[in-house]
Amino acid sequence: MSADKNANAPELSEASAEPRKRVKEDEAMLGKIPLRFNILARYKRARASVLTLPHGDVRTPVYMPVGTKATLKGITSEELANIGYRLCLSNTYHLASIPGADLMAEYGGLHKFMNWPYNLLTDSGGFQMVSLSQLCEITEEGVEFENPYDKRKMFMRPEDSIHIQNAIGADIVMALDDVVKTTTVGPRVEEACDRTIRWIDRCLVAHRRKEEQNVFPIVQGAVDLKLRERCLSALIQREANGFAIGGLAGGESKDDFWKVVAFCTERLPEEKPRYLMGVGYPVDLVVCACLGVDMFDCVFPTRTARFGVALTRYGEVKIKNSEQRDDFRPLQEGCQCPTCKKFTRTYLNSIMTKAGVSCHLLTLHNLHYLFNLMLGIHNSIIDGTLEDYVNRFLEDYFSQEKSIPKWVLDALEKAEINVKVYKNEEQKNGSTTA
Amino acid sequence: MCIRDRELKETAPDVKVLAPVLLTKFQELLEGHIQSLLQQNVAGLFLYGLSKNDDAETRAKRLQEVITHLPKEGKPLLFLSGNGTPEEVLQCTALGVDIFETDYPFVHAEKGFALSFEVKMPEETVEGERKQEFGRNAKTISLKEEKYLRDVGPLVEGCECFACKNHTRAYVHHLLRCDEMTGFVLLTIHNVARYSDLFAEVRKHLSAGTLDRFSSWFLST
Repeated sequence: MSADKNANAPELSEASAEPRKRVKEDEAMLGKIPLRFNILARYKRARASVLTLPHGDVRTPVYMPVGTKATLKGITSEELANIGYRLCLSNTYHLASIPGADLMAEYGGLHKFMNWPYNLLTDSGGFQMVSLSQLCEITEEGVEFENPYDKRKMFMRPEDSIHIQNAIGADIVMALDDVVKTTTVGPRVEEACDRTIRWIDRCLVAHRRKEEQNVFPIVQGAVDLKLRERCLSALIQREANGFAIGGLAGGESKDDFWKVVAFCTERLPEEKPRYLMGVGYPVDLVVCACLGVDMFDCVFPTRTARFGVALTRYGEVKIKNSEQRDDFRPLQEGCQCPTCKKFTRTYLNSIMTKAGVSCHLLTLHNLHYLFNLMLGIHNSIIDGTLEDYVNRFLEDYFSQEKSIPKWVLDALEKAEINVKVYKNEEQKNGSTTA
Repeated sequence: MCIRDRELKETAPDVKVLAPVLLTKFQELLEGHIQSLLQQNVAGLFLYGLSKNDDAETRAKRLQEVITHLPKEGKPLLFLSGNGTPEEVLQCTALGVDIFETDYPFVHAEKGFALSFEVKMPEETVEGERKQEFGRNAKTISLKEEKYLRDVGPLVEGCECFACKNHTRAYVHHLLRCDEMTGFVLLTIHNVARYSDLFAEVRKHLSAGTLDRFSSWFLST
């Protein structure tokens, strides 16, 4: 597999084309199918690809920042684009209320409204309904919940979710799934798994903009592999251009977490993008990319920035700590983000609780860090150096820790990534639990 | 003050020192204070103490009380810490203030206001009477108002700032409604740009000798 020599350039040129074996790819070129997934290189389970959507190309594995209410908190569309992002998220749950689907359609869709010329993904609203609403009742017909803004009772069927997302106009829209807490056990989990399958069919039928927007089904089943299998086999029979793994990152053990991810990526179609929802922390991104995940989203990096935590190569830097007060280094030496080029830890420490701009500066850094982390994974898969990349990441990121978490080592073993960096003899011999 | 000045001259000779001067009605204190500062070769006077409720007349009076004691030649730089209203800027520039310290554009952004006053005086102007003294209430638009819900024009028509070139009133209205930081970011960008434009025009008219005409026009529009 020849490496794409332009992979390191900030601007995406047209990805080097493999012989076009399938009609589908040609159709995508004509705009009939709004997604093309071109796998440039593989390393064991990991893939480096170019995901082509109606608003341009995206390199994967990709982290998508979350712009809940038509903006990332404090960051303008231009700043986000300048870092290199070409795909970000927004939340249907909030936009459905403010400004609402009708107004959004009047504005010409979310891209135009927030002046974001690149790609967008909207979730269905399912997760927020369950986690944020005071009242939430799920029936076969749909979800009844309390509108957070005016306390009205609202009812969202799968069809409604899709229609609202049609009005918002994102390039990828998520099917409404029956969401249960990851830690749920018992018949409710099975019910949710089966209902999700029935609802995806309703979503696909209701979808009004098949040539402009992709509907991704979401695999549910909590941590029960039998239910995951059931959900998976049903969903992959549906016509979809990509799939998501849902119902994780919600309190389950890390051991269960990675095993479900590995299970799903093994069974999802090879040639379609795989989106792991709600993940995550830098180490989660690296491990799951190795397990074959292509897309991620999480509020953690931007949220933790607002709480004064910077994500760096050498782990988290808690900027409010007194030890940062006299530290004249940037957050991460060598980092080319606007924050690190201009400001020191001591400055950031001094303004942290006093000036709103401190959140802004840390958010910019975290976004920059994650973008480059993912780009590094993408490039190292193409170069064939993913293993080195992962080892260097582990060595640096856990340099302040006593050990690398066992689940990480187990998951990487499954991903067939050879870990050469051990903290101590016990870990090396595989007998330590973190 | 003398001691610090000496230390500073040794350790950081390029650093300019400003001396704070309280704008007060107690004139008898001012003359001696200013004289002693002038003897110490301060680079500038930092004038403060104006009240938010001071009208134009009071403001002028307070400033004059300081300025009368300053030499015509070799006048130190005058910094004014005030409200920063355009009316204050125009008046105090004419009286001799060089630098204004204020959070005027930021405070307006925080409250959801975009500064919308026009700063480019047309070539032909009619000498207008001062219609009103608007104090702190300069020309602004309140983006929180529901009337902007469907307005997809720029924040202020004809503005070349980043916010106006890239975003709409409807979007900023939405952001403010959702209490999103980005709304304040965009308003701040616009307000600082508009405010800076005002100063650019003031400098232009000062050089051209047309500050009076500009002030009259500005305050009457």
